[in-house]
Amino acid sequence: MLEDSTNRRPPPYIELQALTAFSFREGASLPEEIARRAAELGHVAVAVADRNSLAGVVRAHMGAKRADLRGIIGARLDLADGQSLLAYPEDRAAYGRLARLITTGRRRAPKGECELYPADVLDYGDGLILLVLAPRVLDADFARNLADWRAALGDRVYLAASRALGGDDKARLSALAELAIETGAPMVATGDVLMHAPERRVLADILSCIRLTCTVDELGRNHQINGERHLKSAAQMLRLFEGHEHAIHRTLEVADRCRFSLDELRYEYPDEPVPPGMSPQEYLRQETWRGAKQRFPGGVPEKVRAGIEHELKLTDQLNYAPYFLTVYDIVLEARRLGILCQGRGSAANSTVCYCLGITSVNPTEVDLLFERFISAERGEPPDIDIDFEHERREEVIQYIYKRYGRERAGLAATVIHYRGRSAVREVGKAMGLSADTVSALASQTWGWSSEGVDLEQAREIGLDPNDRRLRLTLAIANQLIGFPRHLSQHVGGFVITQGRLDELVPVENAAMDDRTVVEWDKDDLDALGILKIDILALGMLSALRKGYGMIQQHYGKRFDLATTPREDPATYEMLCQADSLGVFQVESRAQMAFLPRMRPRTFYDLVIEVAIVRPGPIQGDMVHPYIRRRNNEEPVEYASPALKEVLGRTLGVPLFQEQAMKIAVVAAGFTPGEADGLRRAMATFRHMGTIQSFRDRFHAGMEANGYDEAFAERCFSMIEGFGEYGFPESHAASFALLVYASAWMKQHYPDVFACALLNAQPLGFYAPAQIVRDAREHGVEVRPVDVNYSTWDCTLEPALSGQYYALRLGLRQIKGFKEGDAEWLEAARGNGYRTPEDLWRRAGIRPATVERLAKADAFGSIDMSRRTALWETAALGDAPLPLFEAAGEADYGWETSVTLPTPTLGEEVYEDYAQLRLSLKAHPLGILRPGLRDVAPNERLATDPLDKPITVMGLVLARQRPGSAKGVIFATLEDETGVANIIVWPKVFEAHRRIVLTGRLLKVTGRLQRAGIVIHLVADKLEDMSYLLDELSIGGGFKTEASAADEARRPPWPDPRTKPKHVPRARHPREQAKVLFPSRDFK
Amino acid sequence: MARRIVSIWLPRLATDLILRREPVWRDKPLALYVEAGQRLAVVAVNAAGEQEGIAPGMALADARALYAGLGTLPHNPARTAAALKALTRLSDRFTPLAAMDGQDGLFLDMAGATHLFGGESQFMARLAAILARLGFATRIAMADTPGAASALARYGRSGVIAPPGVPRDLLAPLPVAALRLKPETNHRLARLGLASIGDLFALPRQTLVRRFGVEIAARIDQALGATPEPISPTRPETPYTVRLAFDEPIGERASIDTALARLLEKLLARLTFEDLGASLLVFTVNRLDGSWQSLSVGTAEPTQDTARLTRLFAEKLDDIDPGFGIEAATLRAARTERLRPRQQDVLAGRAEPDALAALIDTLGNRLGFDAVTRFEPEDSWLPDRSFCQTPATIAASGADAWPAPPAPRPITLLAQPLPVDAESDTDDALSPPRTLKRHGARRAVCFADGPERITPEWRERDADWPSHRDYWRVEDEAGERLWLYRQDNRWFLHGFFA
Repeated sequence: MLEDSTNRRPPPYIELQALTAFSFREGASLPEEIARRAAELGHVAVAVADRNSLAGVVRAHMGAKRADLRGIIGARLDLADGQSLLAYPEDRAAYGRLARLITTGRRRAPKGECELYPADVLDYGDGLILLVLAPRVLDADFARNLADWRAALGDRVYLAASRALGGDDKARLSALAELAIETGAPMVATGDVLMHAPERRVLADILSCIRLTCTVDELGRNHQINGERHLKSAAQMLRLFEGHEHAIHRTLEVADRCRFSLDELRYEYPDEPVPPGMSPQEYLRQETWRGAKQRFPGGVPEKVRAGIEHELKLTDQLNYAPYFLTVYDIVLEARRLGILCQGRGSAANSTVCYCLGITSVNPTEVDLLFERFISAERGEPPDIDIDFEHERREEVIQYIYKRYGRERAGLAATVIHYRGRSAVREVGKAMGLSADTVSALASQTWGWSSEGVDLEQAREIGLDPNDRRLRLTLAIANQLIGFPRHLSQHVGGFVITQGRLDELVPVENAAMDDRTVVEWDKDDLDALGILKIDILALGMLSALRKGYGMIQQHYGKRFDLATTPREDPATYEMLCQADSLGVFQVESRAQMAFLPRMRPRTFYDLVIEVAIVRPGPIQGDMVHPYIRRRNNEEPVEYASPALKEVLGRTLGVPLFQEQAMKIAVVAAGFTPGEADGLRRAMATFRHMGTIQSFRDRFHAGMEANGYDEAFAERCFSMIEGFGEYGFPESHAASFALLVYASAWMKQHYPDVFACALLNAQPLGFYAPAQIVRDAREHGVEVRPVDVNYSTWDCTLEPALSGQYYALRLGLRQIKGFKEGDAEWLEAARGNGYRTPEDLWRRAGIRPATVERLAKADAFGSIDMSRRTALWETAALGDAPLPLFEAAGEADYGWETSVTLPTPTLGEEVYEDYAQLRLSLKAHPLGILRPGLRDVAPNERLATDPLDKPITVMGLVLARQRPGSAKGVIFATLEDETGVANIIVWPKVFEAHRRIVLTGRLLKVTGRLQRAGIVIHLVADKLEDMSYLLDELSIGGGFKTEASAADEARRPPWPDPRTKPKHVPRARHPREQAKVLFPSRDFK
Repeated sequence: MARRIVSIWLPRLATDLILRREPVWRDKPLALYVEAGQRLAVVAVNAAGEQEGIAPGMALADARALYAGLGTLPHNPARTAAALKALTRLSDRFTPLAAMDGQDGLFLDMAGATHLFGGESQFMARLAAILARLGFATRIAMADTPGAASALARYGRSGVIAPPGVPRDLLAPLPVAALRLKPETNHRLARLGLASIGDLFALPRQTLVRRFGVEIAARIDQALGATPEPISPTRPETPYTVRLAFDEPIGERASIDTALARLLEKLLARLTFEDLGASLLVFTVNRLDGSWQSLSVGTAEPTQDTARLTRLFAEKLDDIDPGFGIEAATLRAARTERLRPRQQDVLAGRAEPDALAALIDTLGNRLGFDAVTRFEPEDSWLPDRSFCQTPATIAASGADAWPAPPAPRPITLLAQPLPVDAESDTDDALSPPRTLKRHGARRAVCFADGPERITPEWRERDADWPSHRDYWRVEDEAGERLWLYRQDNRWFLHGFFA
C-alpha cells in the first residue's frame, strides 16, 4: 500500500465480526450504516458476516463503495453442533463454494433456517478464511475443535477474540492467546459488532424481544448488558487489546488475504434456446424475420424493415441476443400452453420484440426508440417483464424450473421491510402495550405507509401522549421502519444463469412448495448487473383471454391482443365519458376524474394517460401544465432547445421516467450512469441520506446550464416521485394496449366484458357488485345464480331482448362454494333438479353445501323461495339412504307443507349480500331511502346548486390516501342512484378519523365542486351509519308484511328509557356489516 | 301443587357489583373486559357506558375510541359468581327453593309462599325494591315454569306476572332467543324468518324436530310446562369448623390441651378425607360471660400433621385467659389447600417434615410469616436487581434457578453503595484504581480486574442508575477484596469478596 508524504500509516484495524440487520431480529444496523460508520472511524475496509446468509452483502458492498472503502464479504456460519465460524472467501472460486455451502444448509432446512455441519464446511472450505468464534466458557471441547479446524484447514484458520467489557476480560484474553499458541491458530481481534453506534442498544433490545417473542419487561438477562457491541476506532481497539496488539494488526493480514470483491461476479446468459449449429445472433435474426412476415402478412413496411435491421445491429454489438432468445423461449412456451401474455419493460416495445410476439404493441403506432432503453454506455442488461394470466402463471414458472434446473434458475427475493404498521405493531408488543392498544396504534397508519404514528394520533385514540412507554414505542418504531424483516419471494423475478446459480448467490427454499429463492432482491441483482426476467401475473390478461374466447363462442368473431381493431372512435368516446369501470388501469377514482379532461383520442394519449396519473408527475406538478398545453390554454414552450429534443412528444412537460433521467443528463450535466444511480438512490436508499447530495448537484447543474430554480425543483421532485413508482414510457405503452383492449371489449361487448371480469376475480379496483351494476347500466340483463342454469363460472345466455347476451351469475359468486361441488352439480344436472333433495341425492352434494345454495337463493328456477329452500334443506340427513332413494319420505312420512313468514326486501338483500356480496333485487340504500330524511340521492350531486351544503349517504366502495395528495382522503360512496366522490381534507379527517377509516355506511354533508362531468363533494361532517346495515337483516327497511313478531325482533334491553346516543338501536348477533359490505381501501 | 317460579335477571350484575363499592362509577362510563385471544373484549358495561354506545362484545380499543374517558377494569368472573351465590342465600328469606340461573340470574320457587308477603304483585314489587336498594339493575317475571319466567324476565315487560296455567299467549310474541336455544339454532331460525315463539307454535312439531333436533321441542315443552324442569336449590357449604361444648366449664391448661387435641383430631380427620391440608388454623374459646378469645397458627405449607400443629399451638396456649371458665371451643381451618403428594421414603418409614420447614414454622409463628424471608433470583443484569426477598413460605425455586453471573460476584453486596475515595491514573474507563482510602488510610491496589460495564435498562427512568457503571474486582495491600465501581468518574464500594 502506498504511503503518503506525511508518512501516516493507515489505521491498523479492520472489523471482521459484524452482524447487520440481515441477521434478522438481531443486527441493529443496516449494512450501509456500518459501512458509513467504518469510514467515519477511519477504517480502510469493512467486512460483514451475517448468520448463515449472504443476503446483506450486496448492500454492504455498495455501501462500502459509496464510502470509498473496500468491502469484504463473508458469512457467519452457525453450525448445528453449536460452533460458530466467520468465513471469508479468498477469491471468486471460494466465494462460489461459500454460496453453495449456504445453499446446502438452507435447502435441507425449512424456509428461513439453515442446517450445517462441520463436514459441510470441510467439503466446501477450500479458499475460505475461517475465524473460529470462542464460546462463553473456554472448555476442552473448544480447544479440541479449534485444533481440529487448524489441522484440517491449516493456516486459513484463525481464532477470533473480542472484548466487550465483560469483567473478566483480561483473564479471558490471556486464555485465548494461550490457546492460539497451543493450537497454532493465530488470534485475531474482533468487535463482535451488533450495531454501528452505541445508541442502537435500545433497538437491539427490542429486536431481541421480537426474536424471543417477549416484552422488554420479560427480557431480563437477554438485555444487552451494555452498549459495547458497536463499531470502534483503531485507537479504541488498541486500548482494549492492550498487551495483545498483534491481534489487532492481524486483522489487516486477514483482510489482505480476502481479496474477493463482488465486482468480480460476471453474469452469463443461458444458451439453451439456441439450436445447435447456430449462433444466438443468427437464430435471433432468423426468428425475427419469420415473425415479421407473420405480423405483416401484406409485406413488411419499410420503416419496420429498417427498425429491425437497426435493432439487430445494436443487439449484436451489445451481445444481447441470448437474452432476447431466453425471453422468446418462455413466450413460445406460454403460447403453446395457450396462455395470454404481454411483455413490457425497457426493451419490450422494440420492433424485434413485436416480431417475436413478446409484445403486441405495434411499433408503427408508437414511435419508441430502442436506444432510449438500451444504453451501450451503461452496459447494463435490457429489461423485459412479461405479464401472464394470473391463474396460469405457475405453469410458466414450473416450465422455467424444468428447463434450466434448480441449480440455474431461482426466484429473486423480496426483502420485506418494516413499514409503519408492522413497526408499530411489533415494537408495541415488545414494549408490553396491551393488544388492543397496539391494534389501535397500528390502525392509525395506512397500510404500506412508511410513516410512523405521531403522538397527536395517539392522543386521539385515547392514549396519554405523556406516557413514557408510549413515547418510547413510537420513537423506536420510527427507527425500525425501513429495517429488513425477512426475505420473501419476489412476485416473479427469475434469475437464470448459464453456470451454477448457487455459486453466484445462495439459494433457499421458499414458503411455497416447489419454489426456490435466491437471497438477493431485485436491487441487489440490479446493482451487480445480473439479469432478472419478471414473470408476472396480471388478472386483466386472464379476463381478456376469457373475453376473447366468449366473443368467438357467442359472436363468432376472432380477436386477440394484436388483432383487436385499432383506434376505434367509439371506444375513445366511452373513455372520454369516464365510463371506465373495469377497464385496466384507468378505472381508479383519479383516472376517472382525469379522463374527461385528458379526452384521449389516440393510442399515444392512452400511453400518456397511464403514466400521468402517477405519483411522479403529480408530485412534480406536471399534470396541470400538460393538460393546459394539450387544451391550448398555454403555449408549448421549451426551457432550451436541448430539452425540446427530450420533451417534444409530451408538449414540453416531462411525464415519463426516461424523460426525467434524460433531463438530469441533458440539463443538469449528469452522465447516464449517474442519472441511473440517482433513480436507484431514490428507489432504494431513500432513507440513507444520499438524496441531498444528488439534489445539490442537480440544482447546481441546472443552474449552470441556465435553467431557472423553480423548474429545476419541479424536475427534481418528479424524479423523487418516480423513484418509488417509476413508470417508463415503454411500460406505459404495454399497459396502454391492455387499457385499449379492455375498453374496446367493454364498449362493444359489455356482456362479455362483465362476464370475463367476474370470472377473473379477484381483479382490479371494484367488487363484483359494482361490475354487475355497471353491466346492468349498460343494458346487460343479469340473471341470478341458479342450480339449474349456473356453472362454476359466470356464463352468457341468450336474452329475450336487447342486443347483448344475458349474464348468468356463476356458482363462484357464492361465498365458500367449492369448484369441485360445482362440477358435480353440473355433471348430474341432466334435465334439471326439482328439489333441494335432488341435489343431495343425484349430485351427492353435502347438505351443508346444498344449504349454501339455498342461502344464495339459487332455487328460483323451481320457484322455491330462499326460506322454503332452506326449510327443505334443513330436513336433509347426513348421507342419502340408498334403500329409500325412491321414497325419501320413508322415515318421516309425508310432511305437511308449512308457510314461513315472508321476508322483507331488506332481509332478502341482506341475505343476498351475506352469500353473494351483491344483490340483484335492490340496493341497500334503496331500501333504507324511505327512512332517510335530509339525505339526497347521489344522482342529485350533478344537478343541485353549488352554494348549498348537501348530505348524501352510501356504502363505502373505496378509500384512498394517495401519497401525493398531502393527507387528503378520497372516499367513494355508492347508493342506488350512483356514486359520490368524497374529498376529506386533513382537518376534517382528523376530527372524524375513526369514522373515515372504519365506517362502512357513511353519511356525508359537504360542499359540491363540479368541473365538467367531474363532481366532488368536499366533506364537512361525516357520520358512521353502518348499524343501519345490520338493521336490514332484522326487518328493517320496507316491511312487506306487518306482523306482531316484528316487535319481538328487538329485545327490550337495553332499557328503552336509557336511549344510547349514536349507536345501533339493536345489535344483530351476527353483526356482519363489516364483512358484508367491504370496501377496498388505501390503494 | 303448581309451581310459581320467579326469574330474576341481573343484566348488569358485574358492573353493579363495582358500583356498589365505588359509587363514582354511577355516572361515569365503565366497561369490564376479558382477554379474548389477541384482543381485549368488553364483557360488561354500566348504564352510563351504554349511553355512550359501548356494548358487550366490542373490542376494548373500539370502546375507548367511542368514549375516551372510559373506565376499564378486568372482569372478575369468580367475584360475580360468588355474588350471585350470595344473592341465592339472601333469597332464603323468601323461599328455600332458590337456585342460580346461568351467570346472571336466579330462580325462586314461590309456590304457596307469596301470601306471606301480601300476594304475588306485592311480593314482586317488594322483591324489585329490595334488589334496587341493593344496587342491582334487575328484570323479574313470574310464571309457572322456569322456562317461561326466564323468557318473560329477559324479553318481556319487567315485573310481569303470568297468570297460573300454560303461558302460551304470553310467550308467543317473544323472540325465539327467549327459549334459551343454542345461538346457532337462533341464527338458523332467523334465516327462515321464524322470529317469535309464536311462529314456532304454528309449525308441526315433527318438522321442527327433524330440522333442529330435540332441543327445540324440549325447550318449548319446558316453557309450557309439558315436561318438568327442576331447579336445584343451592346448599350453603359448611366451613371447616369443629366445635366442642363442655358440660362443665374448663379452665386448666391440661383441659384446654385435651380439648384442642380432640378438636384437631376431628378437624384433621375431615381434612384428610377430603385430601386437604390446613395452613392457617384458628382456635376460639367462648367464655362463660359471653366473651371470646381467638388465636391462630400458620404453617409454611399446608399440613395434616397433628404433632406439628400441636407443637405450634403449644407455644401460644399460655396466652389463653379462661376467665370464669370456658364453655365451648371451636377450631377452624381458615386456609386450606389441596395437599401436594409427597414422595415417601418407604425404608425410612414415615417422612419427617424437613428441618427448614419446621424452622420457618416456628419463626413464622413467633415473628409473623412476613418477617421470615429468603432470596430468590430476579432476571436482571443489574447486581442489586438480580435477586429479591420473598416470604420464606413461598416455595423456593432451587439452586438451578440462579444463573451463572457474567463475571464473579461478591459474597456480600451492600444494600446501598458507599462512595469511596479511589484514584486511578486517568479518567479513562479502562484505567484501574491505583489507590483507595479505607478506614482513614490510603491503601495501594495490588490487583484489579475489569471493568465489567453494566448499563441500566432503559425502559424506565431509574434514579439509582443514571448512567452505566464500570465494576472492578480489586484487592488492596491490606488483603481486602472489594467490588468497586466507577460511575460518572466517582468511585463506589458495592461489595466484599470473601
